[in-house]
Amino acid sequence: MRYALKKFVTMVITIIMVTLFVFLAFNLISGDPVISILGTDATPERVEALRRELHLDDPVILRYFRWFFNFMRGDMGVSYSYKINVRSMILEKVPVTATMAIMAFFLMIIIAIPLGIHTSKHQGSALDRTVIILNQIIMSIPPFFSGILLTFIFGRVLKLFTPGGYVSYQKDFGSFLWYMFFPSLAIALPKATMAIKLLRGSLISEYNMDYVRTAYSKGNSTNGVLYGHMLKNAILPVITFLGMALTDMIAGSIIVEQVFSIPGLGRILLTSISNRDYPVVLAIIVIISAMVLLVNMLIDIIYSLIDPRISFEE
Amino acid sequence: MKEDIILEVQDLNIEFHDHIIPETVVYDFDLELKEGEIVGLVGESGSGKSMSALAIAGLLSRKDMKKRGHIYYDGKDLLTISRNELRSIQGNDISMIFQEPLTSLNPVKRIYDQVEEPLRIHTDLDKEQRYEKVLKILKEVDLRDPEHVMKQYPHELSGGMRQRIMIATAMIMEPKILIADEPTTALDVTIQAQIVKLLKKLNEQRNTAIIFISHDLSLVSTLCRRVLVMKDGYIVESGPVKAIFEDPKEEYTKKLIAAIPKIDIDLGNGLQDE
Amino acid sequence: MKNRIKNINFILGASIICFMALFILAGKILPLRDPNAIDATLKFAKPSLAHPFGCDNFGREILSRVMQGSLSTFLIALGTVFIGTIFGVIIGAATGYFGGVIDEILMRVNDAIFAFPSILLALLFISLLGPGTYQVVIALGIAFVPSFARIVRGEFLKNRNMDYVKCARLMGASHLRIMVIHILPNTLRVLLNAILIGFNNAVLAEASMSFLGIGVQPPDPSLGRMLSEAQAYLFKAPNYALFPGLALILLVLGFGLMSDSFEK
Repeated sequence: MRYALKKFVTMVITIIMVTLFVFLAFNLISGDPVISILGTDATPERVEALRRELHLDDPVILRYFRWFFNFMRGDMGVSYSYKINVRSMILEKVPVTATMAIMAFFLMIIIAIPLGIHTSKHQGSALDRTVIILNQIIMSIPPFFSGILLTFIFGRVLKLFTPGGYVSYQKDFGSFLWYMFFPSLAIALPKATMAIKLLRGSLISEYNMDYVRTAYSKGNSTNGVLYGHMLKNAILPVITFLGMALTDMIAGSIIVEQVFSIPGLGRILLTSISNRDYPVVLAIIVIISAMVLLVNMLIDIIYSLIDPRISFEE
Repeated sequence: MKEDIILEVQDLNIEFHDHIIPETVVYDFDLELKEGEIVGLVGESGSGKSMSALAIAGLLSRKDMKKRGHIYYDGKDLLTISRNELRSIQGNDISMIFQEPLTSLNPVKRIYDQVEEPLRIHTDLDKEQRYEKVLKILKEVDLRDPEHVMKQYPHELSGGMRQRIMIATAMIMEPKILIADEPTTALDVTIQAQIVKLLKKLNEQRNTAIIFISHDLSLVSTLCRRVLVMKDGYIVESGPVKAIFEDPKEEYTKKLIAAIPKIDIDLGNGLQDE
Repeated sequence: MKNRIKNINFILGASIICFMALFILAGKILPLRDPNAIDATLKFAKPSLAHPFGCDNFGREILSRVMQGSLSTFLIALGTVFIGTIFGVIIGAATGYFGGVIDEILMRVNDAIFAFPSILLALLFISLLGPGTYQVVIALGIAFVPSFARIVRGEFLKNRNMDYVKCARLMGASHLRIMVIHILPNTLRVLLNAILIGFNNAVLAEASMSFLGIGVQPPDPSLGRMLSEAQAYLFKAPNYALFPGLALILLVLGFGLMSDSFEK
């Protein structure tokens, strides 16, 4: 419990540091927002009025804290290019990105854990060899290309889904999930192959451990030893990877959204980057960063729950 | 087979097949173990003593190891019976403790679960009965505050405590045979003596036969009456401890005896009053 | 047995990279059509002897575009890894060798950055710097520094108390000399592996960037952008997506196999 609290505090501090850094960077580089909003031919009076309205003459640190507390309250500012509330642009897109990342995460686990266990149990078998070779190839296919391949095979040839036929989750949740399955699979595949490799290696190294011999000496069956003893130990190094994979998936969803024409955070982020619409970019980067940090914290806590040695040492 | 002999090993040969050229590590190993007897198995590392013990406990993997000969227990040859039959004996009638108690315990499971496991595998006792049994055995291995210890993890205990846990786990089914593979090597000298004493006590109270493996002849002499000396896979000498001590036949045994530091641990029933 | 597999992996990976290098070189030597030359009559020409990979929606030669695109992907990856290695080695060596408060602070920052997916970092930098080839090199380069710094720091930390370093210090060698002449060569094996993995990741990241349209700018060819354009014509001209995809996979696979053979 104390460990979880400590991790939470660390996360909050990191969020503040990250947002401060991002905020400062945008303020230093992005130039004068007044010009971005009004254009270069605005009258000096209007410029002056807007400057006051946006508190641009305050010290940057003050503006940061004002922005931060507004952000926490849900006020994320106004988009330069669309002149609408950033919050209303972004908030309903968050579930799209989150669904894709979570779905991909579970797909990865569903694929990786059984295959990792099976191949470690039957080293050198035909399936083991096939998986090793397939792994190496799939690992080399970037998610957006596997997305294109999946679209071609399942969308165009097998017609299991309509490419480009995204259904909003507010409209029809079932169809939404079905459509999200394929992009999630595209993100999950390369991570799953790495997880298989890791789990297989981790389990194989556990086979030589003394406690495995002890477990057999008690009269355990092979499966009893594997599931009752080895898995929990072997999964530890994999968990760290799974956490990193999930954060990669959150970021990776930005790219795969484009392949499947899904209007999520990624699309807004990209248009805002090219429009230099900084309030939107800032808000999205902060939200995605918060998701990433949250995942990291959860992974640390899960790890400490599985490995009793962690919370004790710290 | 004579009445009180519970384990009989005949012509046990063990070959390794994990390299291109098979390598024999144990030759013509013979052993008769009487009920309640403590037999010492001595030799330097690599002499085949641990291999023989692992074979008796059924812990040598069947894939890359070739075993010939017979290990008779309860009228069955442990080398040829099915995996299921073997498993019903392991941890139940024959159990084993090892050299490194820290790594021999599962680092991520609570002590209680590890001690209780043989009960879950071999009996139909309910939860409360199992708890009672675990508590009882933890008390019997002289652990202080067993209720607390059972909630802990291996890394939170001292080396001696861990080995007591291992012994408790091995003894919980009241086995006929306990194989102790260098159980004190990784421990401090004072703890060593305590563990040896504990084994002796359990042997007397429960009449469990013990195969005590060690490279330390003096330790063996305090615990066992009979000893087998192994070298390079062969049993080079066997007989009563006293006879071997007083009149070693083999050059190797003489060396082993000469290597003993001249401190004797008095356990009351050791070499001195034989 | 295991070593043999690793050697096979290395040879296979190196062969793939050599093949891709020859392929890219061929694009410079062979008298192929200009990768940006448009010819409406060749729109979606099917692969044939005259146009081995076919032509795209503007009638441009896909073969020469894939060659040119592979080259720019490779060069961007090279630049990225170069920046990552140089700054990573400097930061990692200094923090690992000297330790102390600066090490503590820098490593905390490094860990915080390391926790973020490099694509996200690169996107952040791109949004600050604007899209473009050089911007991608800088953005990805910076995003890659923490992982290199982390690895190098570990190695320097391990080596700094070894006897050979103490010996050099007793002989009066300066810190810089010890770091560059004595310790650095000992980190090469680990560093080389990190560089190969870095290439692998950089190729993937660059392709993702140009796929998103924030990397190499049109009309210059890049594998990622070709793929994103090919998507619209997937059924009509699958070859348009297939060949740049294949080139990309070969590049990633080659570096992946090579780095795999360095793992312990």
